[in-house]
Parts: sequence; structure tokens; C-alpha cells
Amino acid sequence: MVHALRVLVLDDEPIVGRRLKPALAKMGWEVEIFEDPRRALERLAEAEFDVVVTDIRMDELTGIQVLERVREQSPRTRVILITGYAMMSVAREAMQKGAFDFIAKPFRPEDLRAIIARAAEELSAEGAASPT
Amino acid sequence: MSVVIVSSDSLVTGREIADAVAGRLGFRAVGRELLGTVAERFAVDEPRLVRSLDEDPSLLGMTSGARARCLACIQCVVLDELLSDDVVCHGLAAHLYVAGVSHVLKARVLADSEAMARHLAERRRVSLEKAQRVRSRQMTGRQRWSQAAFGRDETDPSLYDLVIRLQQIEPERAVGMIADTVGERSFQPMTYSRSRMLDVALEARARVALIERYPQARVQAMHGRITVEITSVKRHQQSVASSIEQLLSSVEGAEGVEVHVLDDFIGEAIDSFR
Repeated sequence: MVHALRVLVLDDEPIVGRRLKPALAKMGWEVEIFEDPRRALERLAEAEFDVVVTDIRMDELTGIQVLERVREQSPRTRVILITGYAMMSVAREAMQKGAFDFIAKPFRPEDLRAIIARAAEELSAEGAASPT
Repeated sequence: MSVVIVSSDSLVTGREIADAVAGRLGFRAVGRELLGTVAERFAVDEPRLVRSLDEDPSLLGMTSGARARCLACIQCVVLDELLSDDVVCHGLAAHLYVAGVSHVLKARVLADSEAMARHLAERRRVSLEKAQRVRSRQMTGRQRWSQAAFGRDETDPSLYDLVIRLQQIEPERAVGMIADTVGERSFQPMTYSRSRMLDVALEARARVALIERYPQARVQAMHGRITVEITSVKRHQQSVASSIEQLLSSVEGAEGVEVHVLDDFIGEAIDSFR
């Protein structure tokens, strides 16, 4: 089934979601923004997303925990971690646990778009989705 | 793909392991032959570059300033090489200046010290005890060198992802361990680690550009922007900042330069007594 790429963005800083939503939606992707990790996980339990973009450092849950949950629920979903406190050990842990990519803030929207586009290509090659 | 840096307490052993790892992974091996490129690019004598990597700090040896200049040139060329991935690097002290890059695996290979001492005793025709003392002095010298050159003790295991002692493990097994480890997902490049490597290489280019005139400048790069911190007496601060900006204006890959000139209180005090 052909559908637009579904992207979930989770960051407890409202400004990040506000900026990223239009920057990603203009690619024709369906973008949902969350600031609360628990609500994001509820949404992930009811719908399958192609790509999840999550901050690492949040109050209630870490991005690594979100990654683990997504990998359990939907192994095909590509998870991209973003952080303002990049550390090598966290980056390696994220990759070891199956993250698709890891990017440090600040980044330009086009950098994230390029990573998501790569994820979409990979998904497309797997035949799991036909992203627009 | 990834980068492997092999450090060893024996140049020959390290080279052999690095070459074997490169062969196993189909990576390119980069070692001392790169010093020819460094010499040509920066018009420095190659033997001088070798001395900067090998010579213990001593009163009659290379000055710390000369060593710092040579090492800055070496770093610059080595880091440019490491940007291209699929590389195994050895003999260029990269384990001491590549930091915080998650797709770089740093392995320390400790040669069989008893065999090394026996070999040394035969070569120099001295007793085994004397050879062991010589080797122990050489090791202490390397510690002093790494502290003087990079402020780090290269024998500290926490610098490495993997430390292998060949006295207990066959070299072939050690090669396999390094190759297997770097194949793990955690050592795969990602946007963050590639960006970090670009910044480390940019810092090195900026340091080389400044080292003749401002060897004391502290240089950092983040997301392509270079930040320089330096101290100067008040009356020279503006000219120092402009001069640094000028020197860095042509550094490849720099997307911006920020110079912070802090007050040099000692210089001001000296000036006030003149």
C-alpha cells in the first residue's frame, strides 16, 4: 500500500516541534509532534510510524527508553535520536540498541530531512513502505 | 564504515597488528609513511617529524614548541586521512588526539614484554636483566612523552576501547578481536560521529594555522565553527583578535570564527612595572 511517510517527533522543548513540523511536512510526510513521552508512546502503541525522531534527555523517559520500546513494538520503524548533550557513550549505546542515526543539536532542518530521507529509502528498499 | 587506531608499546608489533587488521577488514593501513606527505605539505624535515613522535622530553632534546609544531602538522594530515573511513591507523599517535568520535575504535596492543626483553638482550648483547631495565626506561619515557605532548598518559587503559596483551593472546586472535569489535553496530558511523570527526579535523587545521604566531591559543570547533581562546594585554587585544581571524579566514571547512581574547593579568602587571 502506498502511503505518505509517517513521522513522529518527540521533544519536550515545544520550540523543536514547532520548527520541525512545517520543515518536515513540506516534504509531503505526515508529521505528528509530541512533547510528552508517555503520550507519544500511547500513540506509538495505536499506530505504526515509519520514522520516530526523539530527543534523548527528557524528564519522564529517556530517548534510549523510547528507542527500546519502539524496537520492541515495531522493529521496522527507524528511530533517530537527537540531543543537545551529545556524548560518545550515549551515541554508541543508541547505535548498539538499533538507532538508525544520532544527531547533535543544533542541527539544520535540512540535515534531519536528509537523514529521514535515507531512512525512507531503506524502508522503501525493504518494500515495507512506499514513501512519497 | 569505521576507523581503527592501533596503539602499542612496540612500534613493530603495532604495525604488524594494524596491517593484519587492515587486511582482514579490507581497510587501508595508514602509518609512518604518511610523514612524507606531512613533510612535503608543511615544509618540515621528515626526521624532525619522527623525532617529535619518538623522542622523550629532555633538556638537550627537541624544544616543546618545536615538538608542538611538528605534532600539529602531523595531526592535521592524519585527521584528513581519517575522514575517509575504512582506515587502520598506527604509529602516528592518533590515539591521543582523536577523542569523542564514536566510530573510531581505539585498540592498545601490548607486546610480549618477556620476548621483547629477550630480543633486546640478544640485539645489544647485554644480560636479560639489563634489557628489562632498558625496556622499563623506554616505557617510562613514552609515558613522559605522551604527557608532555598531549597531556595524557598513553598507558592509561581508559583511553582505549580494547586493550590486548599479546603475552596471553596470539596475534592472530588479537587481530580477530579488533576486527570483530569494530564490526559491532556501536562503532558504525552516524551523523553525530561524522560531524564530530569533521570538527576534530577542523580544529587541527586551525591549530596549524595559528601555531607559529599564537602557540598558546586554545582552539575548539563545533558544527564547523571555530572558537579560539587566548590571553593578551588590553592594548593588543583588538589586533590579536583581527590577526587570528585573518589567519583562520582561509582554513578549509570553517563556517565561522569566534575569537575570545581574555585579559592577560600577568602581562598587564609586567607592563605596569616598565
